[in-house]
Amino acid sequence: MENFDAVGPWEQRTINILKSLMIFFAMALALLMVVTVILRYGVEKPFLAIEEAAVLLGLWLYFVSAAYVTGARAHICGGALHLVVKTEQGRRVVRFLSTLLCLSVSCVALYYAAKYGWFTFDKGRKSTYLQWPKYLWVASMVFGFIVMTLFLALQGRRDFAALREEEAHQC
Amino acid sequence: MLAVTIALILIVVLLLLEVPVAYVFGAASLLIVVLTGRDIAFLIPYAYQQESGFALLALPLFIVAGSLMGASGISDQLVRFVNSFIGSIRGGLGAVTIVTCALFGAIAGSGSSAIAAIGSMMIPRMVEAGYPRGYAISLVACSSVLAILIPPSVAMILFAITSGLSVAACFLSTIIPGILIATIYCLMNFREARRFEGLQVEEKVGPVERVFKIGKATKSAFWALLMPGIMLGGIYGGIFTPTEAAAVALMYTIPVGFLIYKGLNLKTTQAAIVEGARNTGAIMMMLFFLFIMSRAMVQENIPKDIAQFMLSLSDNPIVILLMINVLLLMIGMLVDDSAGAVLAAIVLMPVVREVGIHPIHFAAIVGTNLGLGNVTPPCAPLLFMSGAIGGQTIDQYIRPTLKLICFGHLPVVLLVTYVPELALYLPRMLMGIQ
Repeated sequence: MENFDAVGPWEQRTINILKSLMIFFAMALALLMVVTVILRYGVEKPFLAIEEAAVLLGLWLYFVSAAYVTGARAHICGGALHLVVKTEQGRRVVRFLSTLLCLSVSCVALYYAAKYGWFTFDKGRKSTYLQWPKYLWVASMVFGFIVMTLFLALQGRRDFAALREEEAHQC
Repeated sequence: MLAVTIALILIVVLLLLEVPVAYVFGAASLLIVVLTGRDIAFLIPYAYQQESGFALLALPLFIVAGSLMGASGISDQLVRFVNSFIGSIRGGLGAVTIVTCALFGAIAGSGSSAIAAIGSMMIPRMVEAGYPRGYAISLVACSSVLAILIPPSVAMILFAITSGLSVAACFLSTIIPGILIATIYCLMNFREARRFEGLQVEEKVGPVERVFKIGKATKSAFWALLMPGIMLGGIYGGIFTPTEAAAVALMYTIPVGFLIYKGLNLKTTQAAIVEGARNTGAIMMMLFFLFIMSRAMVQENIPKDIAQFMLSLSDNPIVILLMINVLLLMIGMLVDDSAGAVLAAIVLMPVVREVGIHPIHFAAIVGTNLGLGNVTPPCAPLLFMSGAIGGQTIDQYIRPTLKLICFGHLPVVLLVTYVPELALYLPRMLMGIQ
């Protein structure tokens, strides 16, 4: 389930853009695969570059969707927090620490993804059939981690603010 | 081994604290890398390369197709179709729920889609007909597992790709176990229905009227029933790959949902695609970090160490299979079926190969066990989802759930484990797998 509580206007706009991109990539991918079947059996002219283009669309779909899921706080989670931590304040603390952990992991992943992205760009490699620059594929991963890291940073800030507000109420 | 033990403890703790599963595996991978002093620089490109596989494209397409089918009105036609056959028997509505979940599984491939599509329709209908609400919730939850077992199945796609097996063969391995579970659930349901007082049963009709009713329902459901035929017929007939079959299914649903069943309009289509893509994003992120963790574990020879450890406890295949079952059940209780399938492929596949269990047989063991884990508390994502739709807390539906699990699902898990033919018969017959 999506959770857009207290999302700022810029975040909301980014989420809407990601949503549109997801729809575009999913439909384009499906269409491309159907075209592959038609080309193979209908026209009997297989087009090898389609496979490369399909992977390109697929990768962008994966990482754009992953960014959307992070923004929407809709990642797959276990479900025993209410059994482990009994108080609402305790759960807020856990949620804040959880966001910090996710942010740290995302930062590390972004650093190495960017490094690999730069390496691919620098080498100027091209895809086998389409002869398109390889960084178009890797850019999806870098883009995904940039957006995920930004979302997580904003969520961390919000979680921290909520935590302090709760503490102020208790005082 | 110490690094991995610490990482495993971290995984369990973080999962219990509801940290997103993807990041749990990410944190565990980083911990392994740091503790073992390995270089992380090539692990991110490795995971990226793994996700760039063409075969993996089947996953988003099947997931989006499943969401679209859920919104298209196909589930309603399936319920009417099954109801025309068994609706007038006492306890028929419960059996309709079970069989429709299995049929929906043949179209969509995920337990959560089955609960969303069938549960929201059948729980209120069953309650109205006199079934206790807790029983209706547990029946929907346990039956939704059939969607994981009847192909296409998202969990099996992931398992096959991660362990380098044929997706089509893995699909086939869980069909017989799925049918067995559905049959046992139906029998248990008919038995339970005898106890329910004031249960409303559809009026019995004469044979001619009955044939007419079945014919009418079959005609209405024709386009829905044609879909598994196209998909599975296409895959096993060698016409298209699972990836292409998923795309064909997706493109087939749109006109059927818009023009025939009229469940789809621009708004519902957009919502369904977003829902499917969202699930894809969540799974792919988890998979990304799982690939990193698997690589880190392989570098440390961990799967082999686990195999040696299990073999040191016993070299009796029966005992080892029992240990594997317990481990799989625990995995299934902690994470959802897609993460569980990948974990099983990474951690337990080397053990299985060492012991000499057929990998396709293992696919069926994984499928049935993860299904069981998904409805077994504490995590039980499918059970809680059904509870949320039915509007009850776990204490109100745990008893019927445990009954279904212990007398319906668990015996099949054991049967599949110790009678390999149940899993291997169809792949051998249809694909010539040795």
